[in-house]
Amino acid sequence: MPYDGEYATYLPLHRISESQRVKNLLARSKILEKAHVAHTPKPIDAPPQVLNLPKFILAIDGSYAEVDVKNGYPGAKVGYCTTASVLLDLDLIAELDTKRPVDPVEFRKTEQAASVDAALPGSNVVTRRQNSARASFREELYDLFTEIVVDEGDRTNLLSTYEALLALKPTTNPQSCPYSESHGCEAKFVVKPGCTTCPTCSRPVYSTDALRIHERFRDTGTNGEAFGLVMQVVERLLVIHFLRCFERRNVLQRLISLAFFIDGPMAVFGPPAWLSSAISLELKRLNKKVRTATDQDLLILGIEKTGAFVQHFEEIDQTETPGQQLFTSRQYMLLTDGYIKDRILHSDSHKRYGEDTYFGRKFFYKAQSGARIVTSIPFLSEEQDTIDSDDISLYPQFAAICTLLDRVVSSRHANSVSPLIAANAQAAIPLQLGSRVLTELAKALLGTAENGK
Amino acid sequence: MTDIVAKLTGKLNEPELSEQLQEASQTLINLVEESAYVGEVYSLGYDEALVQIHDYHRQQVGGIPALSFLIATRIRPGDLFDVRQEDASIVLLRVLDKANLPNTEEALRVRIETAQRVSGEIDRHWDDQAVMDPMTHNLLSYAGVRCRVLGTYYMANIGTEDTQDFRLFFGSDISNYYPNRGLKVFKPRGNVLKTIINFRDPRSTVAAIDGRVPIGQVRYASSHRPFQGLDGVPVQITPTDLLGQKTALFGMTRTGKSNTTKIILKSIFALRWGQNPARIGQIVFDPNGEYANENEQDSGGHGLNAEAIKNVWKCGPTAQNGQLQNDVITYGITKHPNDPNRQLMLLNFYLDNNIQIGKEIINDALSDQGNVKYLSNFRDVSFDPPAPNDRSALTRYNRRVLAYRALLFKAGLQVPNSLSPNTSGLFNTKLLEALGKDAQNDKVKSPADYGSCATILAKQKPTWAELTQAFEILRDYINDKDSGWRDFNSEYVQTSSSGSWADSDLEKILEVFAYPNGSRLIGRVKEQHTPDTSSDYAADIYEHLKQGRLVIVDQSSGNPEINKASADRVMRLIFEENQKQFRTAQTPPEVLVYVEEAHNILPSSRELDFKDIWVRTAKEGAKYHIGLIYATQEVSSIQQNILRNTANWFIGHLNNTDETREIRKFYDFADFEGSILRAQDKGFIRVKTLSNPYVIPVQVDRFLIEDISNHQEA
Ligand SMILES: [Zn+2]
Repeated sequence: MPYDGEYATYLPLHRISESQRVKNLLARSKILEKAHVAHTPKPIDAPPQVLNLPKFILAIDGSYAEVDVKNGYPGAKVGYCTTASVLLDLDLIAELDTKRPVDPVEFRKTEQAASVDAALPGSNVVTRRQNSARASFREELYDLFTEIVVDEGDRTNLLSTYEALLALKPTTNPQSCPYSESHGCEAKFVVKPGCTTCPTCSRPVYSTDALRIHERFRDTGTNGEAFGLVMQVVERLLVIHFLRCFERRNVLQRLISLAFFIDGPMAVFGPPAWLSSAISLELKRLNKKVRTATDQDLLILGIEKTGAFVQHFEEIDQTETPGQQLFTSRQYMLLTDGYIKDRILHSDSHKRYGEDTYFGRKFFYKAQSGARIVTSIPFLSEEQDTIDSDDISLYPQFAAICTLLDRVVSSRHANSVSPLIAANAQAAIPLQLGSRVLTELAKALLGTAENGK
Repeated sequence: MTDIVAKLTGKLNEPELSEQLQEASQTLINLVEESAYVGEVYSLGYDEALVQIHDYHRQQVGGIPALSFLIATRIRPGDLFDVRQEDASIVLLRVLDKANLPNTEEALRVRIETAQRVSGEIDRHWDDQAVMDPMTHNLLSYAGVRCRVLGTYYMANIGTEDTQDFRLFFGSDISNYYPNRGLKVFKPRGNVLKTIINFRDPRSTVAAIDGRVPIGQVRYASSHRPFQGLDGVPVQITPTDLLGQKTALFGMTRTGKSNTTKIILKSIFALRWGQNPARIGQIVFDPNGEYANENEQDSGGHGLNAEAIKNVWKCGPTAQNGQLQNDVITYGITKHPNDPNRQLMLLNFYLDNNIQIGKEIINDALSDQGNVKYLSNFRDVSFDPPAPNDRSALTRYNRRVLAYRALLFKAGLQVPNSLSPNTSGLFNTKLLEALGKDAQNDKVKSPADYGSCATILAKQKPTWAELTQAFEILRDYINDKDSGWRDFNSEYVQTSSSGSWADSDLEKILEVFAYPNGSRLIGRVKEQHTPDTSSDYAADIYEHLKQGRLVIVDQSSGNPEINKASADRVMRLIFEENQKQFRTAQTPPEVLVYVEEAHNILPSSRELDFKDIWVRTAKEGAKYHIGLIYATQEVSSIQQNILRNTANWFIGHLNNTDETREIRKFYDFADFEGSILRAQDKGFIRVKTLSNPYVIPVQVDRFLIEDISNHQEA
């Protein structure tokens, strides 16, 4: 996702907000009043910085561009999707950075990037084997999952990871046939792995149809939403995919040298939201293995650049005294269910905030540099799977996470971290296929192991 | 296995480079120093190139000063190639300014934001590790640099197809470029810079007296610091570039102009002890006495003043010192305590050979009296000796000379002891009788005077004082309507074939006697006169120049008009003598004329006096082998056509745009305008010479005579 704040944004809407109709509406709406809030933000000092940080960061970021194409049909569009993974050598960066300016040739060695790109059919683009844009989209998405391979030595594709998660999906809730809208098939069934057929209309069904992204696909018009969902899913699946590859290579115990960064929260929204609990289960399973081997948790961070939480963090950080902020450097606030429902997204539901979509929780952190970072961390064990408590002792890596954030905060954009900026930049220039990343990473991790670590 | 064969075939097909081509390739490769890499050309045009440079590389090479040279090429150091390929070239660039990269806005924003985070903290900079993260820092370390494209180096064969002889050439443009083809950029240092700075076109005719002389070191900026690695890169000039050419030395006073002049003077002077010895005559007109009046002894009185140009001979081989010392000669109108051995520019006005020269000096001295009738008449008189067998003309000539000498005497010019007046045969007895008769005539104006006039003129050996008196009276007598003159003269005219006894020239001379102011004005030239010498100094100077000596003419003391007149006369003589030789199909001697404060001597840009000797020298000098080196701080006062025909340029600090505007028009001096206006450092100049294809910024060496021996110590 592109970075905001590169250009100053102005609010010419001020005039509208002053209009009588708006005022009347607001008069009928709930207004958050200081006197009635049960939760006030309470920044807490972060635990002291730790010395033992991961040596590498693997950052994953995707982006898409919907472009017009000429195929003889009006409004034909294609979604050009790129997912980049960037491996940063934190130790090398620190070593080189002791003397500035750093030789750019050397500096380039701190960053190894790989990306996968794909063109997905948009409106009015129908592949030869299909007879609708939506069907084409479904087939191409399946192919994309088939093609994504991150390890040259183990050519297991992303699809296999996905199907492993699909196996964790509860079967209690069968989904509609993908052809219900186009062909009126009324069948409801559980999507199986691989390429199968509808039990009723016998048309092809792909395992990726379970993501139900095609339900947001429009045969005419723009498909930003569908492509956005693809990127969201691929980014998160990739983390699991990487971990499973490590598992197969039997190097899970070395993952304490690696931290993952993804763009956005630890959540999957929209039709594929069911993935969230599958991911959570899988993460817990993998982390258990890691914990057994290393006595430590995986380090996975999601960074939010925009949205209600980012805005809220900014707002509460302002105090009545100009120039003075609520959070001082290296203070955090773990967001609880109560706080979120009271202060950020109003709700009186008893259902946990993000129950169906999140596989982790958020906290606010003001880094050493003063940058405000809205971070998500996954639930890596059953005890961690709560947002009622703000007790950080549940998260043994919390001190390391804060220290890591201190290290990677970027001066380039407000409240951003450099690994994701690097991944974002790579995603903008799709060049090489992604299969090298893991090979290089494994080499690096094994290398550090051989060096006596 | 199949590809092995294919690869091998490819290799076998590659033609071997001939030895000449390998050598040629090496010549270009030698210009590409791997460790001097600075960045990439990302945009190239015929005039400008944009280069991306990372701070790391900038630091590695000791910085990239404005106006410094860069080279851009696809030649890889260490890889031989065929110099006839299109890529076998090196583009020479000159750094002009920064260029904005597309992320300039972002970089600016980031720097401002980080700067705000450290504002007020003296110990922390916004680029510190703790403030700006390493990745952003690395990214923002890229910057753009805008460069002038000066031209292209390439190798060309000046031999034949069979016997190839590849030389390094420079073309002042780029013949072609590919917008989407990168070039690696290097900063020329050390030997590479030396080659670039001192590049000469291999086609230029190498004169027999060719030679190169170091004048200083490369200098790009006012702040010139050791880590830049520019020290010790000598800049050479080809002194022969100056011969027959116009050379401009521009710069404010006290910015090292005279030091530059000395360095140039020395470079020419030194040719005489070079490999192909050449003796070039040089003359410096020195209006401030900065060269002529330099004390040859150092202030402590211990030895030679190492900074005095008069001691330039000391730079030569010791064995030749005695002889070389004679090659530096100073002239002046008056004596100067710092220059005891100078030749005085004095003329014996009385000598037969000098009569006309002296008369011209007087004419020049009276040039401001144009509207005084009797004086302008007098200036018309000239002394051209008649044929010796034309007795009548000779008599008239001798009479005029006698009157003229008497007038000089009256003006106060001391007569040489050897010269006494000779009246014999000059004064007609009938005239003396007429004068004697009127001594008793009470109708005439002054009978007594006429009597004494007759007495004096009748004497065989009158004194000069008596003669002066006699000529004064004779003038009155001729003008006295009642005197016997008319009768005498009408009778004389009837018997003579040459008209009136008093020819008009004589009358014009006699007329001056009537005015006390007349002789007083002529007395202006008194200080240029000596009764003791017997030759003309201008001729002496020309002779020195012909012998290839260095002549310094002190014009700082004495009457300014006389100085101007004598400079004009010397210049005219040089010009005319060289012209004479040229017209008789001889090769005139090379002469270099140095004019300081040229705005006072060269005609102003508004004047169009083409007869002026300086204009003529500037315009026609080249033809007659006269080179003109003119120095001034007022560029705008120099005529356009002189500027346009100036081949060599030495430009120091000028303090206003009126002056730099003139220079902007030439070569790529416009790029240097800012530097010329700002940098006030002594001896920091920009040099463009005839044989050098581009402007080189130079710190001129301090003129110093290294070997100060003490053998002169008393
Ligand atoms: Zn169906």
